[in-house]
Amino acid sequence: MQASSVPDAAALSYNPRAMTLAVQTRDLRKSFGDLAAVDGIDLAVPAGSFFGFLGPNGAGKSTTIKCLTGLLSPTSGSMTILGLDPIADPVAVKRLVGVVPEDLALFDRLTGAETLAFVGKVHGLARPVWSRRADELLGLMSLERAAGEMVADYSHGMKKKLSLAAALLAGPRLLFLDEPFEGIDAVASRQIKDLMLQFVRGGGTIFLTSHILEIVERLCDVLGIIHKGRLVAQGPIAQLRAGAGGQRSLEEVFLDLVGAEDGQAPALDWLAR
Amino acid sequence: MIGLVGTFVWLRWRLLVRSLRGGRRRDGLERLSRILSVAAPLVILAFFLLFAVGFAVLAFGAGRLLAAGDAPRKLMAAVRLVLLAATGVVVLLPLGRSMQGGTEGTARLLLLPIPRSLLHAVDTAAGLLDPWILFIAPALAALPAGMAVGGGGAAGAAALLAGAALLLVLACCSALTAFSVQWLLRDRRRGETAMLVFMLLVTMAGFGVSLAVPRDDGEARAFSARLADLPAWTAVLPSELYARCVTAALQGRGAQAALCVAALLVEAGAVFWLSSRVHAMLLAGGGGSSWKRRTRRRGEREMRWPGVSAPVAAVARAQAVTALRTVRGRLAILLSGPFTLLMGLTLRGLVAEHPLGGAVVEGPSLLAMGMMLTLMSLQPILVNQFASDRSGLTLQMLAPVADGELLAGKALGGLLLCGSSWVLCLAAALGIAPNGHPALWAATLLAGAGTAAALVPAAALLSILFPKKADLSRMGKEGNPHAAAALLGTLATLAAVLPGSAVVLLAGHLFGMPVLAALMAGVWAAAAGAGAVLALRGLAPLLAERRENLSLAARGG
Repeated sequence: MQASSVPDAAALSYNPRAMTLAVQTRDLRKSFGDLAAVDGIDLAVPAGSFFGFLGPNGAGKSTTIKCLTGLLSPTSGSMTILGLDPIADPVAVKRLVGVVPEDLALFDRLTGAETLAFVGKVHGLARPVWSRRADELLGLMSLERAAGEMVADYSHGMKKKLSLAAALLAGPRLLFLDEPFEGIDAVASRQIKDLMLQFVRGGGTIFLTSHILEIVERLCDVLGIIHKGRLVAQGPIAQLRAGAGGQRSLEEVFLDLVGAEDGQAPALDWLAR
Repeated sequence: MIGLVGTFVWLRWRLLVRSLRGGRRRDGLERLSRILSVAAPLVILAFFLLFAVGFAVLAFGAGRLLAAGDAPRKLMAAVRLVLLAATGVVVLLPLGRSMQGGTEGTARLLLLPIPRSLLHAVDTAAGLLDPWILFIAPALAALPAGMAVGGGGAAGAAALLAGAALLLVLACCSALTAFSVQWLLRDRRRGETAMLVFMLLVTMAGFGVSLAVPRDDGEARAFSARLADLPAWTAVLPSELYARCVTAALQGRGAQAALCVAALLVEAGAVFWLSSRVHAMLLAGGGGSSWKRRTRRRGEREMRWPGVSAPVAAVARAQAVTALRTVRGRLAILLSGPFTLLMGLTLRGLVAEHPLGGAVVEGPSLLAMGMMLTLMSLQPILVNQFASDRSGLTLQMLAPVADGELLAGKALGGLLLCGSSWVLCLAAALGIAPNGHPALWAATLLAGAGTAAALVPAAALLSILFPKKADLSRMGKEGNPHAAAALLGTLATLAAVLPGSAVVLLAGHLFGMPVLAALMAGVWAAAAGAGAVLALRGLAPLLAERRENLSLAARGG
């Protein structure tokens, strides 16, 4: 499906050229052999926005985020992160960016406190600074009591919160969050949501990938939808919902764009009682 | 019930074959090991069948001789020893296999629509068809057959019953061992401690055996006498009960033979009950880890080195600390000290009479051996220094750490690990043989430092070229580095040892000039250090190029 299926109204009113962009890609491609995981996408994420990056499983969300954060090298195309080229100057970009990747990026054999100390040191923060921030973040994430435990002994939700704390510790201007709500309970989920909203209110930009439409609809103000490696829609969420045919739910927009027939389950007669 | 046992037998064999064959391979360099991994189970199966049949033929012959009364005096002793060894193998093999694997399967078993008691019975019964039990089963059938052919039909029947009872005991023992290890491993820390102690004991046992080996005829006679007069408690061992049953049956003492069979059945019942308790404990945790130890948060200690940037120090500290919290890391650090000590004790006895014996058991020589063992033991960490961080590597890749800083931090971390182990080696060598010229001690340490420095770029290069996701707390293949990295790393270590060893041996020992040896070793260490710094700078672009591959490999992609 091509970008031409983006609702006209949204496409017309969304003008990235008039905005300051935190993330911009041009014809970004990433292939693994014959498979084009990311197939020429042009992302434009306004600075200070809460950008939701939606797509079905295997659409290319995580591959895109890995390219943007330097974990994968794009096959072709260009990227700009906060006005810097991450290929030419990766270290400078990394100083400004926090990431919660798919695998959470934690040492199993460091404690929670040691993990945050590691992040503080590699970012070149002074000890009093990272120490105070680590205490505050551990408190905010309700991880103070587990700070001396090894990450290997953490639950999945605790690891996710620690990974978010590590991403925030250096005071980034842009946060990449890859499925931050997957596998965590409602309490932790609420804490993380509050923290994200606080981050955006403070002028930061969040790039969030998720396949939970309700969360994206509630938190994000700008949306990009990727399907089979291609960007099929991009723009403010309200405008995407107000496309042709009047006000629609995000689910309807999403299913229209990615093809609802893909998601229909086959009839398994033997399941009927 | 039979269907269930069949399913469990199939499951155990599939898991065993999978553990031998390994998983799918990704890059071209492993094509050879792929072929080997397919061929390995077939070769093992062929050897297994050959040995099992050969063992059974020997047992048949032994049975015939025993029944005919033509048996040499020591035949029964040989049967006892073989069965004792077989019992040990049956207990130890599931132990090793369980330690290599995890406890993930337990949770899945819990989900099956089978009552827990039946689950235990089926799992234990399936153990009767484990390869190590199948290996001795033909022999236990062949011995009575041989006895029957040799004219001892009634004794053969008793031996057959005793053999069946012995197999039951062994299957229950095997189950008890496997369940106990799985229960130990359910808790990460408890499991890792048990694994560490086990590995240390197994390694040290080798030295114990070498110390116990008789060196002359007198010692050999005493050794044989000790074997013949086993302590009283060994009478309750299943192999001994079996042997007593066979002996009694051959001597026409039917009641005593029956008593031995009954004792074996009682033992089987007792071990079965015990294994059911352990199995219940294992399942009570739901198959997952139950450990939740609350530890007091310790202050993060600042690590400062002159001329070392904060990111490099942070990477080095993470490398050393995380390795020291794994079983392999601890083994590498802890093993070399006791090894040096035991090596000194062993060599002292073996080469005392030899003209060169004095030089071999000198403190510096022992220290050199310990240092060499450290370098070899650290191979899984050093030649896989990126991918063994697993998810932690992503954290380092996402951090504002330049490629050169990452390489330098890893090198420094590796040297820290080496250094901490060498301190133990030095203490052990000084403790057992505080002889030798002080300059020779210095020469040995400097030569070792040069070797380690020379290895730094080689290890980094191998880690970049052959990354493999590895859990350093596992002793099996899951904790091993890439086969190519392991092989080339060993060769690189041997090559790196040569210059330092040559300097110490020639100048220190052959020409008897220990001070000159120390000076030359110092020059070698400085040259190797400078070379390592330059080589690491040269490797930085390669690391930049291979970041993506490393990141994917570290996550098992």
